[in-house]
Amino acid sequence: MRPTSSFKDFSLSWRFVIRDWRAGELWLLVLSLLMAVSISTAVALFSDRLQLALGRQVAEVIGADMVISSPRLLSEQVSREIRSSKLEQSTVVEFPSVVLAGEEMQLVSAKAVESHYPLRGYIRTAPGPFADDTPTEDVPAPGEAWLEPRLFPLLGVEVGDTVTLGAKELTITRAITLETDRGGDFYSFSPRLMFNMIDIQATEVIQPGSRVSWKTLLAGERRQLKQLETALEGKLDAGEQLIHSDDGRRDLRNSVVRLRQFLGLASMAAIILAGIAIAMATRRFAERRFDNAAIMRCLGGSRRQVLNLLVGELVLLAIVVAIPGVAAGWLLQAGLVGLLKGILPAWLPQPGLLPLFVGGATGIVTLLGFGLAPLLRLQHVSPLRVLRRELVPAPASSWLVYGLSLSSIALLLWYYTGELLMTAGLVLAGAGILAVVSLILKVLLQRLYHTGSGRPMPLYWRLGLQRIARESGHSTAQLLAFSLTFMAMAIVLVLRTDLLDQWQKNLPEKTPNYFAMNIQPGEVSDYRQFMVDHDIDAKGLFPIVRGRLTQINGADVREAVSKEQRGHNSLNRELNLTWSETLPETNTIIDGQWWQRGQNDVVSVEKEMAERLGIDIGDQLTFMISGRELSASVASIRTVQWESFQPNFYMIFPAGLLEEYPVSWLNSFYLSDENKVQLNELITHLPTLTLLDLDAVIAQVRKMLEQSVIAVEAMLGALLLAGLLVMASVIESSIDLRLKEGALIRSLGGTRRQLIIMQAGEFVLFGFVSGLIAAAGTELCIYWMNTKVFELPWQPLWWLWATLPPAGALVIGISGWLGVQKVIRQSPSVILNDL
Amino acid sequence: MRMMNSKTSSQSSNMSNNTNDTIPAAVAAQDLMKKVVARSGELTILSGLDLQIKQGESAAIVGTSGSGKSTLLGLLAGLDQPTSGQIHLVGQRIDELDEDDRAKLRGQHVGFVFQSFQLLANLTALENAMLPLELAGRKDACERAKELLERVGLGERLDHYPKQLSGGEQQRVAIARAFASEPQILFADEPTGSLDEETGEKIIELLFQVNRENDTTLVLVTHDMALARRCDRVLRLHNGLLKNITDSDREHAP
Repeated sequence: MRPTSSFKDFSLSWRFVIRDWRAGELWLLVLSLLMAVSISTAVALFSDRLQLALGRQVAEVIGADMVISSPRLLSEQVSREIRSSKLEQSTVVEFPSVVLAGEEMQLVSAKAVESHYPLRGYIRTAPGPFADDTPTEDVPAPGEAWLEPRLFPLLGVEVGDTVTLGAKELTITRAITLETDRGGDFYSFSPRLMFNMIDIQATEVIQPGSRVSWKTLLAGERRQLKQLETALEGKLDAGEQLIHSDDGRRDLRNSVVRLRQFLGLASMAAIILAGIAIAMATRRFAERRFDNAAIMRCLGGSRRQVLNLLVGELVLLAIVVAIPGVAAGWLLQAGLVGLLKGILPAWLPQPGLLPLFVGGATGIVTLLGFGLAPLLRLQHVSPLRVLRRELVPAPASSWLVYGLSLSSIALLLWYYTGELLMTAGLVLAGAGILAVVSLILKVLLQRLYHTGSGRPMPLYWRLGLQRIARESGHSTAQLLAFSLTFMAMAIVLVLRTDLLDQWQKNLPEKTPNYFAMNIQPGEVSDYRQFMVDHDIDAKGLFPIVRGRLTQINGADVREAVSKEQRGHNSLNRELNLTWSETLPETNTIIDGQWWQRGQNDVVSVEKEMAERLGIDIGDQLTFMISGRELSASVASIRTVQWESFQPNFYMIFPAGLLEEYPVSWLNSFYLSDENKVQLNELITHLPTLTLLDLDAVIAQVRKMLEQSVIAVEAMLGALLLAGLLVMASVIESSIDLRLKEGALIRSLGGTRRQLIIMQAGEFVLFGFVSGLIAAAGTELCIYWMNTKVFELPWQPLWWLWATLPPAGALVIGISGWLGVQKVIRQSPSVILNDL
Repeated sequence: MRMMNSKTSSQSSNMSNNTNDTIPAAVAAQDLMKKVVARSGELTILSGLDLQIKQGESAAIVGTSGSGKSTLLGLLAGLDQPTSGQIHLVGQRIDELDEDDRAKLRGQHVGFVFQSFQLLANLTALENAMLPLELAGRKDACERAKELLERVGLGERLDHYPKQLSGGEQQRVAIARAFASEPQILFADEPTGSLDEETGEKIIELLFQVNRENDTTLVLVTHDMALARRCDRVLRLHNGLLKNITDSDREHAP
């Protein structure tokens, strides 16, 4: 019996959807749902693609999605796995070698490449040294060599000359200005010479025992990469190392993490707003169905049948809306991508199917979370209502209403952040604050009612106040809805400003675009003089001593750290150690103290490294520098702005301690395009100097930030839309009552002006109070986020308090006034007959 | 007061004894009491009344505004629960059933016609008439509803929404809906209350005609004596008790 009758209910529900849609009852609900679904889909899709794309940008830095590096050709076993994986692959061989050109000879970092190199990223070349460069998809043809610009003066050659590498003569055809995969440890470069893999045998450089690094670049879909990684598990030799693009660059990573957090927060805010709109719309939906429910009960429908019918109607609606919603989300995201075509990586991967599903499911979760509680009231509609219309079911329990909506928010938040603890804390705190605020509001409203009802005041004021106070539950809900809307928008606005400021600060106009490395101690004063003479803005000249961290508190560093941390780069390679009397500008001490003058045997450690290796203040660190041991105790732990394009260091010592070791100096400076010729002079002047051009990298980061700003602003737009929806649904939710009251007042002789004052006055008041609440809430949230999430300084935002209440009064006042036009215009008799 | 109470109840119980022997009552109430809590204190609306209405009989309940007519109708139809006393519908005691079982019983045996029509605004005439059948899960809902709408003269207006129909037409839809599930009992609450005299007259004609054709028991609540007189029996609700009105009483009735 049951299944057939449920089926019947279902088909009846379906007919209700159609009938209500035809009657124009559902548009607000449909819009709210559409909003929730499309925004969550668009954001899920966009951040999925962005994440993939950023992964790609990071991939450019290693030239592939994944790299297997080894000191020799890969074993047959590994090569077989790679071949069967169907991933794109290209092999690169790098080795230091001496190149000859006539009388001149120079140590170079030679690189042999195959035709698909690089799989991710690009190289830029110019027809000659310091000429304009363009990106290229070519690689040097067999018999050709491409040289880094600074090699030309060092060897005294020009394009068309020949150089000898090992046993092979190569013709110089181009200058190579950029390899995006040359990031990483750029302090120890010799200048580049690139040639074709075909010539590698002929050079005869690769002999047993020679220092050669083989890299197998791999690129393809995430799934395939993952498969290969699993297949290779345990098959890699000791020297063979697998590198992911995820391990990539810190300078990009921090900005990206923040952007993702921001997008997540903003979309969450939009979803909550859509949820509020849904709650309001379903409330009205339910209230307008009290009569229907009563009649159906009267005609023999059981409680369950009636509930199934109406909840079924809503669920069907959600499912039906989910499809265009997901499609709209996809279009939105595609539009965004189209808009950003110029600055997004050309090669934006297609998103997976998961975000589509997540978007649709978000809509349904939001609907159930925010819309179910008001609907459940329908089962308590008494059939007696057909005879006595004043019988209204008890209002939905606040516990149920707020409990369900908070649970759905918690569920979504948990899904989006993946952090259970944070979600729980956030939701509980939110619930607590919500409870306190709504309690205060309710008490205030009731007090208002009592003090107001005793005093003589104009009729329309009294009526307005009475309605607000009498329906204190509904009024509180409305106030909260407005407050949350303003709050969400204010928070996103504040964060956007902070975010942009932060980025702007990291990448100011004259961000250093050159790193000068390998400045010998004897050349430092010459170098300084050159910079002063040419009026080049060069700050922060740092000494560099190369050394390896060997012991922590006397224990071998490999024993001292957990197994997972043993792969940490800092343990596997030499670190750049420096000394400084003062704390570098962009660094901040978070634990311990910067040293006083005269303090020796101490070191300041970068925070992330300290965390990874479990280093605390007072720990004794031992370094191996040029075959000698050096010990120092940890005096302070610092945070470093990796994205600042300034030289950054894991370890900083006081002056004096390192001076007896072999040292070279490092500097970063800014040089405008038109002054770049000066570099020729600098290189001729100081021939051992190594110059690293960061222009392309900075441009890349700038592009990414620009695209982020557009994404952020698109989010703000979406939020604004959601806010308008909330307002519309709040106004709509009380329109029946207002219409009736307005018609009564009109029919009793009230003027339109009185009506306008009464209706708009109420909205202005609501807007003002919501603005105040929102200002307080925003202040609190920003304080929490800045101190706990973003680690930014906090200061009170006075402008919030000054602008939000009047803005709220204005916005709500106007939209309320627009919304109740019907109340003012409609003839009273029509309304009274209708209701 | 006390005296009068016992007198009336003995009177009606005598009457019910007479009828009980022959045909089972379609609607019956014993010692029916309804009190409600109002701001001014407890208010007794029905104070232990008894009632028997035979299958096929038509009975009008009259009384002044606020005498509790609608309350009584709600109780008899199982829309509400009495404070004490028993109510039987088609031989089944309903005051002991829960709301859902009463709803089922209503769906099977009871039809309603209301003063305010109580049509679902978002359903067409046809869909409104189909509703009780659909709720009962009947497969012939559409054909049956069409047939009834044709019988009440609305065969041409099946796809109209209530708003597009006149008051009289809306009440016709309500009548079609009431008879759609072939009920044994029809409760009518001021069925002409929202209609002009002429339309009301036609509606009443229709109501009684369909009632006769279906041999339905009719319980009609009204304050219109002319309408009440068309019923087999007229009962006056006064001070929470029912009293049979004889023809001589009817002469003096307001």
